[in-house]
Amino acid sequence: MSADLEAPLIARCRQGDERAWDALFDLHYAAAARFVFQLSPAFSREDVEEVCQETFLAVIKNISSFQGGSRLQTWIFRIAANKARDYRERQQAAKRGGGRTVVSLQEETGEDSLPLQVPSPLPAPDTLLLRAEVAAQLGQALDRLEEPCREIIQLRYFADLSYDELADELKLNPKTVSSRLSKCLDRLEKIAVEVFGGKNPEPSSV
Amino acid sequence: MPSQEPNSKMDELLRAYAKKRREQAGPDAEMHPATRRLLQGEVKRTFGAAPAPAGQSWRAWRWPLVALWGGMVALLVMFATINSQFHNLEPAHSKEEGRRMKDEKSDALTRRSLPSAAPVDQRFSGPRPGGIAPATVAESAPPPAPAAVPPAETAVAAMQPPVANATSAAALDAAAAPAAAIPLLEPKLTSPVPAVPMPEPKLSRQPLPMPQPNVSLAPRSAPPATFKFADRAPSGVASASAPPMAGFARSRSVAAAPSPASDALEVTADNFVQVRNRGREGAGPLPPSNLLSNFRMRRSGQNVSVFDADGSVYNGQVLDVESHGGAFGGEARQDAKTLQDVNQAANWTFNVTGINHSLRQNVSFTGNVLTTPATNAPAQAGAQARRAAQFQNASKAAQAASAQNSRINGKVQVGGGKSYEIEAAPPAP
Repeated sequence: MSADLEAPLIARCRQGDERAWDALFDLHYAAAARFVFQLSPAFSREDVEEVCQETFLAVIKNISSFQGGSRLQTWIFRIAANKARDYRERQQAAKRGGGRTVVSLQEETGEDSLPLQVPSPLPAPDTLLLRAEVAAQLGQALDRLEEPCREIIQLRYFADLSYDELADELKLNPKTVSSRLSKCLDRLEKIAVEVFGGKNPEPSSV
Repeated sequence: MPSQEPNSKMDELLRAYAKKRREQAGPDAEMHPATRRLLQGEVKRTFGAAPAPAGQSWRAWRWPLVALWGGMVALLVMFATINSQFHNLEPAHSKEEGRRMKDEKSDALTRRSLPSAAPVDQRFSGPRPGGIAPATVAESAPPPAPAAVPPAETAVAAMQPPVANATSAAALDAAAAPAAAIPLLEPKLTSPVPAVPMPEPKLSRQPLPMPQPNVSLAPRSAPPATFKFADRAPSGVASASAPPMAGFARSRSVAAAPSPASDALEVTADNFVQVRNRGREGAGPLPPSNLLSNFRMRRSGQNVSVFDADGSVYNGQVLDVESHGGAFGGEARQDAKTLQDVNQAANWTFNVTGINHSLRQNVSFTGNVLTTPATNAPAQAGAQARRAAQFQNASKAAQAASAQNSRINGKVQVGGGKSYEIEAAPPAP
C-alpha cells in the first residue's frame, strides 16, 4: 500500500474511526505477526500474538506521531521489533526466575477438551534439537550484534525491505545501507563463528 | 542496488532461517476477535467517540445553536422594548419642537402676506355689540420679564430669546417705535415672582425696529398697531440689533391668523398652580405632587401645550370655545372699542396628552379655561395704563390683568387609570 493510499486511512484512524482501525489491523496484522515470528526461533504463536497485541496498542497510542516519512508497515515493524525484544527479555527473565509457560487463554478449545489441555511449548525433540542448534546460535549471534546492525538485518531479512525502503526508513543513502549491511553481516559472521564453536554455520542446517 | 550481497554465506543463512520460520508460521495469522475488541476499546479510549456523520453532527450542534439564537432574539426584543420606551418619551418633545417651528414658520409667512392692521387701541375704541373675544386669556399672557419674572413666565421665558427679556420700562419708553411687545411686558413688571430666577439677558436691550403691524383686529381705517406676544425664537440667538424682520419673526401677532377667533389667538404661556384646598372634603384624591402642581399653558390656534414643572410637555387641542362676551373674530373685532370689552369672560376647553417624566406614565389632561372678567382690571392696570398710554396700548395692560383671573378646572388621568381633579389658577402676585 503506497503512502498516498495510506494517508487517508491514517487520517481516519487519527480521528478515531473504528472502521479505519479495523482496516489497518487487517492490512498489517498478518505481516507484523510473520515478522515477529521470525525475530526469534523461540517465539510461539502465542508469543507472536502477545507481541503483536502490544505492537498495535503502541500503534494506536502513537499514530499521531507518525510523520509519514516511511511506509506505515515499516513503522509498525520497527515497533514490533522493539516489542519483540522486550518480550523476549521478559521471557528470559521469567525463565531465570523459575520458568513459566505462557498459556493462551484465547485458544479456542472444544467442549471435549476441557479441562484445558496446555500444549507443550517445546517442539518435537528432533526439531528442538535442530532449532536449538541453529536458531539459538543465530539468535545469540544476532543478540550480540549492536543495535544498528541488528535492526538493519532484521528489516532486511525478516521484514523483506529493499535497500530503498531501508534507506527511507533509516534515513540513509542506499549506498550507505548497502555498505552498512555488508559490515553488519561480516560482524554477524564473526560472532556466529564464535557461537558455533569455531565453525561457520551452514545455511542448510537451518 | 548492489547486485551482489556482501557476505553471501551469512546472507544465505539468514534467508534460509527466515524462510523456515515463515513456513513454521503457517498461513497468515488473523487478529483474534478478542484482540480486536481490546484494540478497538483502546481506540475509543484514546480518540474518544468516533466522529459522527453530518446529520448527527447537526444534531449535536442543534441545542447550542438554538440556545444561541434564543439569546440573540431575547437581546433584540430587549433592545426593541427599550428603544420603544425611549421613543415614547422622545416624541413628545420632538413633536412639540416640530410643531413650534412649524407654527413660527407659518406665522412668519402670514405676517409677510397680511396687510397692515389697525392698532389695538383703535380696535377697542369703536362700538362693539359683542363682548370680548375669547382671546383674553391668550392675549393677556404675560411676556417675559427681564429682572423679575413671574412664575408664569419661567418655563416659557427660558425658551424665549434674550430679546424678549429686554423689556424694561425705560427701554420701552425709549422705544419710540410702535413695538408691539411693549404693552405686553407691562403686566410682568407688576407681578414679579422671584421664585424662579430668570437669567439676565446678555444682549443689549435696544428697542427693536418693528415692521408695520399686520393685525387686523381694528377698523380698517385705524392706524396700524400690533398686538404681539413675545414667543420662543427658533434659535437661541436674539439681538436687539437684529434686523427688523428677525425681531418681528420672534413676536406673535394676535390676530395674525384668520377666524375663528380662538384659532387666531396666539397664547403665550400662563403659569398656573394648583389652588385646590387639600383639606377640602369631597374633592377626591389629590394628584401627585409632581403632576401639574405648577404648569404653564400655551395655546396656538387650536393647539394647546401644557408644560409641567418637571419638564413634561402635554400637547393637545382646543375642544370647545365658548365666549361669554363676544369674540374678536369677524365683525366683532372691528366693533371692539372699550377697555372693558377686553375683560369679557371666555371659556374654552382643551385636552392635552403626554408623558409625565416624573411618573413615567401617560397623562391625559382635560380642562376648562375660564377667564373671568377682570373687575379690577382697570384699577390694576391703572398705573400701567398710564405708562402704556404713552404707547396707546393701555388695553393690553388690562388684558394682562385679566389673565390673572384665568382659572383652569379639569381632570387629569394618569396611565389610563386614576383620575384627579385639577384646579389651577395663576399664582398670586
